[in-house]
Amino acid sequence: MSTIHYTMYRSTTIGSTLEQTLEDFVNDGSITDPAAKRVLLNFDKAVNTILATHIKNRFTFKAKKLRAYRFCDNVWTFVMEEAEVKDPTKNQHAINRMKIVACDASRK
Amino acid sequence: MLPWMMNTAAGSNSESYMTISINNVVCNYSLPMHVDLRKFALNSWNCSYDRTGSILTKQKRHPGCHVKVYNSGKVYIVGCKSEAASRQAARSVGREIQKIMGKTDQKVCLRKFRINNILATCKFPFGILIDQVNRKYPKETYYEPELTVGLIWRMTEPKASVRIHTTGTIVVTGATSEADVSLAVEKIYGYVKDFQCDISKIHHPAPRKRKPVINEEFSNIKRQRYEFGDDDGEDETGVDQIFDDENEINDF
Repeated sequence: MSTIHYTMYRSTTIGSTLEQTLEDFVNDGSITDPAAKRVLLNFDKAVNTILATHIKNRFTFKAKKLRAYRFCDNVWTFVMEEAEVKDPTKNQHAINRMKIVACDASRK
Repeated sequence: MLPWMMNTAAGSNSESYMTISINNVVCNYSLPMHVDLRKFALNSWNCSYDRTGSILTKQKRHPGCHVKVYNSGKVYIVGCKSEAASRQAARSVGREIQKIMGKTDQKVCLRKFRINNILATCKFPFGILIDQVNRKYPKETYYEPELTVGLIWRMTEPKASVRIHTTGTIVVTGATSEADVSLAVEKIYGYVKDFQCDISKIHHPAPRKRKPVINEEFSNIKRQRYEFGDDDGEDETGVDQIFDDENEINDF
């Protein structure tokens, strides 16, 4: 594990269920704590690489107004108003206020 | 905008207003404290702080302007439309920095607030013959029609640089106060009103159409080459004529 990846995907549904399962295993005693940590690191690596290369589905959005932006530590934060989001199934959702926190994708 | 009343050149009794519109005011000042730019970036909106850079850039909506903040406490503000707005923006940025750095108990002043540059435009209601102006005032003016369209007049007091165009548009740059701007426009009006002319009568040379240089002989030869083709209409590209095995001259 030479490279470090973003750990933010651990808070997604799939990431959080993985964490819960690992916690149950560690509490039972079937897995050691460092092994669970290793699994999570593997998960980070897998999610980051697959998202960057294999996923083709896109959500597109267009907002009426960009209320605020911030760029600090290579992280963009946007707050927009009255956004229309189109998901891959071509359904449109109207969102009053949307906050986007985006990390740099080119970072390995 | 400073409205003026000026008598039009033709000597008619109608008075026309000439408005000087200030387009940009650049100012800078220094705060007597070290600014933690990362903390400032995390706690305020509409800002951008590169990890590599030492500058935090911010944009303000009221009054609309761009702000650059440095570690040392120096602040540059660009884009306000008036001196007063610039001052207001400066104070509001100073206040924000004071709040975020947690120095609300101390008195924080803007040190060495100074306006660096004001850019203003004005349109005179008449055309100006700038080559004549250049001839009469060769020391103060610089007119190179091949480089820039307008004539540049460098004024020493008030210190300003004025671009004069044949259409009567005056652009003042480098002035340090609104009063200076209006003084500069007044002075320029004094110099230039002797050289006025009707705008429609200004002769603009037709725009030079740049045609590629064609060597006439060569182009004729090219056209001849494409008149190939057998009489039967079989070989239209002329390939058979080029690769003519019977009449081939082997000169290798």
